Amino acid sequence: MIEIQNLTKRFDKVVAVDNISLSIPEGSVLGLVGSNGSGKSTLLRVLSGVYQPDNGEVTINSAPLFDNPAVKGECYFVPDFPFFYNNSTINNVAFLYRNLYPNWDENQFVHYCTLFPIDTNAKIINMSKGMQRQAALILALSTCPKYLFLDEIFDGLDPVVRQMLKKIIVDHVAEYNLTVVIASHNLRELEDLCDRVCLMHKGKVLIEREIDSLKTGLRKVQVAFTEVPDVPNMFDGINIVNIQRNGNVFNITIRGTEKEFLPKLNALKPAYISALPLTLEEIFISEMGAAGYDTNNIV
Amino acid sequence: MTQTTSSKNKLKSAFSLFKWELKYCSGTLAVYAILAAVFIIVVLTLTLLTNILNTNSDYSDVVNMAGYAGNLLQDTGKANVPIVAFQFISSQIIYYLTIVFTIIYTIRVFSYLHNKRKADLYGSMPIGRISMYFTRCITALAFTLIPALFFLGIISIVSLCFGQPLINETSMIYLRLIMGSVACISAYGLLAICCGTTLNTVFMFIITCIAYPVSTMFINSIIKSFFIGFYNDFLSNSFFKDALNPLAAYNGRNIVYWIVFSIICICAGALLIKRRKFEYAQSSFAIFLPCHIVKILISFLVGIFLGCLFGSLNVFGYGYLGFLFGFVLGSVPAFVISHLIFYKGFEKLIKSSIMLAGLIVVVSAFIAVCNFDPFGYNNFIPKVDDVKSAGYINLNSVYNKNNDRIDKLAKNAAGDFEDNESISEIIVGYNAYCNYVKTGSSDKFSSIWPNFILSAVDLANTDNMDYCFAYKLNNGKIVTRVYSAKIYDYYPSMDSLLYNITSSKTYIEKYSAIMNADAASLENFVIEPLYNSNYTESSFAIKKSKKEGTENADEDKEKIIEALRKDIEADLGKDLAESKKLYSADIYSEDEYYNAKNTVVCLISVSIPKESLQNDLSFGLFYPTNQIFYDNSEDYFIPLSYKNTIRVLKEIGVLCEDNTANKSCPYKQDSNSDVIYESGVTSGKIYY
Repeated sequence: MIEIQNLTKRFDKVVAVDNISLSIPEGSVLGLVGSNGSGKSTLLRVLSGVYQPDNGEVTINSAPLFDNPAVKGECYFVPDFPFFYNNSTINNVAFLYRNLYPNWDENQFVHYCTLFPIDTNAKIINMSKGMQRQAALILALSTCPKYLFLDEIFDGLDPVVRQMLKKIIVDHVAEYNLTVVIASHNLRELEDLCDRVCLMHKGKVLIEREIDSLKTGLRKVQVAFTEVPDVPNMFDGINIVNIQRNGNVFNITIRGTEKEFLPKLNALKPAYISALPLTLEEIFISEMGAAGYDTNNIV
Repeated sequence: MTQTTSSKNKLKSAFSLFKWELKYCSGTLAVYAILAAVFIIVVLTLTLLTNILNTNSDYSDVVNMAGYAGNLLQDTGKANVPIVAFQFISSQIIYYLTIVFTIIYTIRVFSYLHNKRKADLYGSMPIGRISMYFTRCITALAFTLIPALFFLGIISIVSLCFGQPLINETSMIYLRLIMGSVACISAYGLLAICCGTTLNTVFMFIITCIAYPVSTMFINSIIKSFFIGFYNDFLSNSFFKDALNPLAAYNGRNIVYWIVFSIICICAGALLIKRRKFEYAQSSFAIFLPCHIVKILISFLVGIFLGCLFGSLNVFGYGYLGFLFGFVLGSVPAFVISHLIFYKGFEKLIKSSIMLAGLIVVVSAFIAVCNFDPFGYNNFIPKVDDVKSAGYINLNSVYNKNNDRIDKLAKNAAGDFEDNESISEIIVGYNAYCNYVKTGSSDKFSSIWPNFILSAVDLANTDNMDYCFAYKLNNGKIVTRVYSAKIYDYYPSMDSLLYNITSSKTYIEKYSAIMNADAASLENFVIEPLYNSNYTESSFAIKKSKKEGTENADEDKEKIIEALRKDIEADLGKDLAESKKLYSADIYSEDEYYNAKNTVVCLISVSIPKESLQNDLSFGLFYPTNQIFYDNSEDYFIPLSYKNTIRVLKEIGVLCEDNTANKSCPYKQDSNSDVIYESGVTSGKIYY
């Protein structure tokens, strides 16, 4: 289990990660989502031991992570822009990783090299962005990590490879109890893959919970009236996250279940009412809006 | 449960990283190998070809440069000389090539600290930061030394195939490369940790290597110019001169200092790498202290240059004011420009300017003390009554038996002469020099420049013109002055003013090679009979040669030295001094000349090859100073009263019974002899 306690990371005066605490259970896939500059990549770098926390602590199975090769040997970090030397090929990077990572599996390496459509002797630096990601993934998966940290991994991958990657991760989680933390703005992909999601903004965690509970906790409700009731604060008693009015039609994001809010809405005698679960993207936008980060505030 | 890594795993990881770096440096290594191989082949071909085409060509210049005595030509036969030349030239090429590639490898291996993407890669790897740092140091060192050893080995094998063993210089080159590489890699590694970019690291390294030694040379020159006769051995002849210039470690001097320097750099690096944050990659600096030091160093150097220039040009009609103006004019822009380069903007400029202000105040105060001489250093001239004992040394021709530093020699000399006559003579000489310096140097700032140029010259390889005066005062205080005459066009002749001192038995016993050096090191030992003759008809070199009868040359030389020492010790009437005087040009007269011809039996000239006085490597914190025996020849005009010497010379057959030359002696040199003479020793020299 990854334990993050009161973690703070500063860059001069900028607080990139601000006193966050988080537990990531074994075998879970945590999606890190958030606004630009919310601290997702910084958190991943702290988790992978690149950055040292200014305050707080990150432990994996109670062992400190920073500058601890034994723990880091079980982790692998694929950054948003993986570094490769000018003459690096997948084969010669594997040459280093073979002795460096204790769980390196040659069979897995051969397997993934055949699975991904990539030339293992070609210079990685000359490959497209997506191919470079694939190269990084082949190497990452061949080290058989127990903890995999991925930053914007879907960026540049074609839909087939994206689908394949998701399948591989899910299989690894099921088979090897792999723990994955993925930072991404591609919420559609995360929705398919993650069992938990952590929403970050300005270095703080706004929400961290299981994706199902997050989805069931919020409803997108459309309420239409023939004539809008002349009742002051007519939605009082309903936990509204966001509300938009378009004539006699209200689009409301409500926190809670149908059982909780439908009786109250029906009491207003609407002409039409429908309640749907939110997509992750909609959850993101509504929660960020609640945190003061919405288009109305920005533009 | 705390997870740890075993030492074995650490080594395994480090070795993997080493192999990985090796793979990525293979291109650079290949370039090095190709260049080295081509140069070796070219040099070998040229030296062999030159030897075949021109059998008369000698390589004495190269051989002498190699520190290999000129007698190699005699001893080993001419066939080996081209190989010695090959060995020397090619090893020098490998030496410089290795230095260049060391810097390239070092920049490369530490670049992982200066790139955010590399930081992601290496920072997340399962290898400790200290292990990573040490692996990098060792990698750079191995990339440097293993190929160099390989090519120096090839040079040695090629030489051996031609029957020439390894000369001293070639083996020393490898030791110098080790020392230089260790110092440079550890220093660069430390700077790389402190800097956020490779550009800043390279700038800092280059600036430190240049600015620091030049700054110490300026300080040295200022002290020498303002406090005339002050011997600052510490600044000019010690580790301090190049203390922050790791490239100087390639000289092989002050090995102890460079070992300590490297250990400090490596330990500081290991300490700082634990604390250095990877996020500083691509920032200006991770640790600002070296940046401040370098900024101050640059400001000081540019300021002192313009200050000394304006001071010597008497800007504002007074040297000190000119200096201050020049110093501010130089240091302020230098500080601002270096700040802009390192910080890439004006950020923190005002705050860090406090250091510049401090520098200006300190330097102004220091130059004020130098300029106004509040302690009266330059006005000191002792009275005979105040002096208990005194001494004088002509540092041109002193044999430094115990390898003492000049300041120690000077202090010891203070007790040499206790009689009033000698003390007076020494004070007269000292006074003459002081008066000359005072009238000859109109502006002390002007003499900074010649002193600065002299500081730049490697004193070990130049002829010196230094004189030392020392006094032990009645109050027990010892006062010493060491003057260098090199910066003046003309200076008083100490030889004539202090003739009685330098030709005295006390002086010869203490400072001459004949009395202090062992016989083996007196390689050039030439005797020129003079008795009853107006020129030297023949000369005798006491040396083994192909001639029959020279087999016992070493024993014969020792016999002569022993006899001469006995005679000098028993010379109560100063006969040796008198006989030298008779042949001294400036007191020459016809009557005296004819008198000399019947009182002086022969001239014995001894010398020590300069090369044997120079060490390739030196330990400790100071350079070896036995090189102060520059004028490496001593002439002894043997008077008739030197019975022991004359008897031995007759026994070995150099002199006949009537004290004339024995022309059938096997030591007699032919007029077209191949013997290489050191400076100051000539054959068939005519004394008219």
